[in-house]
Amino acid sequence: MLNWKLVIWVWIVGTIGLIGCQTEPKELPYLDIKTESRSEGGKTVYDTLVREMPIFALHNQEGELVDETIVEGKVHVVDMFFINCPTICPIMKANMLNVYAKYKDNPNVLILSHSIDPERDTIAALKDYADRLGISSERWQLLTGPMKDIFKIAEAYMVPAEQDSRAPGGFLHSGAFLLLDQNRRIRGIYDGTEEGEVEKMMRDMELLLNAA
Amino acid sequence: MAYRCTDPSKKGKRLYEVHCANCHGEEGQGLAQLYPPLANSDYLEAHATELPCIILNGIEGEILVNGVSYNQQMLGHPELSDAQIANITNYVVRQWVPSRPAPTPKDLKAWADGCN
Repeated sequence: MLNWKLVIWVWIVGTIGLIGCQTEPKELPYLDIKTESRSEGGKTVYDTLVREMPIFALHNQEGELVDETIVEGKVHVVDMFFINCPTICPIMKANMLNVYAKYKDNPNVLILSHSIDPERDTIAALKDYADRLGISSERWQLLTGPMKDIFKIAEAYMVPAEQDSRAPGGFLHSGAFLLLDQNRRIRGIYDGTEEGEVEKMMRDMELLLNAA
Repeated sequence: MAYRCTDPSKKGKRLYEVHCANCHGEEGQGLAQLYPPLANSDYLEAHATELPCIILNGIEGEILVNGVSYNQQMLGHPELSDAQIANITNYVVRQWVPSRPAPTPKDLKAWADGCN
């Protein structure tokens, strides 16, 4: 006799499995796309361009001046923070520590955290913060530089940040983690304050690492 | 089912989650050497009566918790009412200082009166 309960059960599980496969994309989208028009032979032609992130020159926690070449060929995660941030930063750092722990021995991964409070977050303060977090600049860079440069970078990364004396700690910024590929193109944006989102980001990092 | 919305320790838990857990963690575990733990903390055990003042005014400078140095400024919470601070204190002490008897409302008031 057919065990109908079992048949239905297998069917349900199988269907869920199929849906699961379909919703998990094999390739991540490009999230910062713009269209440019040009004329070609009297006709207007539209090109779809994927924007590369801007070049930069900032100091890390070791006092080294670093530029965009440090992320060349690396899957990298970017966020904004400041040391005296009493609100979302601690939870972002707790979640980022999980990412760090997973990839700390992987030379193809780099984490860049930009301080938006250059006045207080000096190189020495960032070094102390890094030591207390127990992180190495090899895999996780804490970056500082002129405020206008940092805010320009935040804008390019689509991570809003601003000075606001009414905000706790003096600044407002988004809690987003951005995932960029080996060619400095944005491939994912995640809520860095949500553990589940950060787990999703780590799965997406695997896709990028495996595609290389 | 009876649901006591006014249970002070439940209120304290909710307030703790909103105002404290970001740094000190939902389980009072702290974060690395940046934010000290509240669970199994010799510092908290020794300074439990100062909790209302620390929550209100914050704390600055190096402290040793279980032999580990912490030196991250904690901002005060002047936006919290006396009752809210008492509820958080009550929750934290009950939750993580088992060596101490649960504070009475009188204790909580006396501890809070100590700060400016």
